[in-house]
Amino acid sequence: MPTHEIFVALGVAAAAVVFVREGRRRGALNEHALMAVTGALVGGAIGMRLAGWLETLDLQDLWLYGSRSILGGLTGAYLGVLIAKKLSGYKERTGDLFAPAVALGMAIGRIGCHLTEAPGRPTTLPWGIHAPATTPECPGCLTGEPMHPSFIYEIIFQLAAFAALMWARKRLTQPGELFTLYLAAYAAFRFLVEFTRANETLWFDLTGPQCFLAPGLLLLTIRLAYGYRRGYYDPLIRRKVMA
Amino acid sequence: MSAPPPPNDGHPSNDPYQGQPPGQGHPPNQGPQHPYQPNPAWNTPPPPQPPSNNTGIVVGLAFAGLAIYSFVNVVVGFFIFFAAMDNRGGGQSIVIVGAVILAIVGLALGIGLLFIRKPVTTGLGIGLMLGWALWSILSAGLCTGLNPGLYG
Repeated sequence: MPTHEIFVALGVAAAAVVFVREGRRRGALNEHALMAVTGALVGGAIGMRLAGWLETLDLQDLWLYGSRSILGGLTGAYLGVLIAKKLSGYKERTGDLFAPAVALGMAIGRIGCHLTEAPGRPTTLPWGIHAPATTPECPGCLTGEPMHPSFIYEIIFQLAAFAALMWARKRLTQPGELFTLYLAAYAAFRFLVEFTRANETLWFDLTGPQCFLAPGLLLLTIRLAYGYRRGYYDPLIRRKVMA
Repeated sequence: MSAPPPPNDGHPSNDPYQGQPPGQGHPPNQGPQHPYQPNPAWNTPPPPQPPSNNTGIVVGLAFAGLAIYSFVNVVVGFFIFFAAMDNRGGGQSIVIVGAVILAIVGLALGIGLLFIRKPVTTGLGIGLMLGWALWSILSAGLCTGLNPGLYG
């Protein structure tokens, strides 16, 4: 099994452990939760491949050479959970169960990306790294320039997000808000870290993921403002509520 | 509720239900009763839902479905892999057929079983779908014919 897939497998295993522990803590470990996990995995597997539609509309090209995108996988997983809950008639929120699990799983999975993919754009910063010349789609690897360790940035973010979610999970009382916060934080981080990634730019020097994230960030900002006005995040920021 | 609650402002009140938690309001008028013994039918919480005893069946059969799918995947994946390695042509058609067979077994059959809405079929259906998804994600599509570019 290649290095990348080993870390993906470890990430999925770690996410499963966190999900089960969180489900047990919340008393939500039942067949509906299993159904939601199935929807997430099936949607994720399909979504990560369909994201290649941003690159080509040719079905054969997509099938043969389409990318495997984390953002496509996350979007597919989200839609998969919605469909699974619709099928099983489950109406409770499940995002809070997924948020810490996804954060830890992605932190581990990204180690595989760091070891096998182009690390990032060239940089003069002292922590720039070198990668083997055999790394695919990596011009900086051929020239031997130091590059941004963009996957290390993401691993640090995901570990910090995991710690923050574990701290916040007992404080937030509004169902679904833990997931909303994680989604918004990851979308903002990913948009910014793309400036250090080696991905191809499409429009206005923005990469494909950034073009995908821009409208999503707008929606998430509106959603966060909605939650803030209703005091969903007061336990976290200790905002005083007017009597 | 053996004793009435004291008035909260120092003034006696004639409202026997003053001090009740908000939202409960007055009970329906059903004849004379002691003012501090509400009608049992008025404030009785709904009986707790019995815990679902299907979870064990569903989870157990999900593992069985996962094992069944994995067996099918190993057999079909074997043919997919060797068809992809075959340089004589026609290999891509076999990969497509294999990928479609695995998607039918994992996804179509899995979803179909869910619609029967019995614990046994739900568990099996979930297991088949979980199997397809896990094999696809953990092998990056190599084992389910989703990513033939990986065959080199």
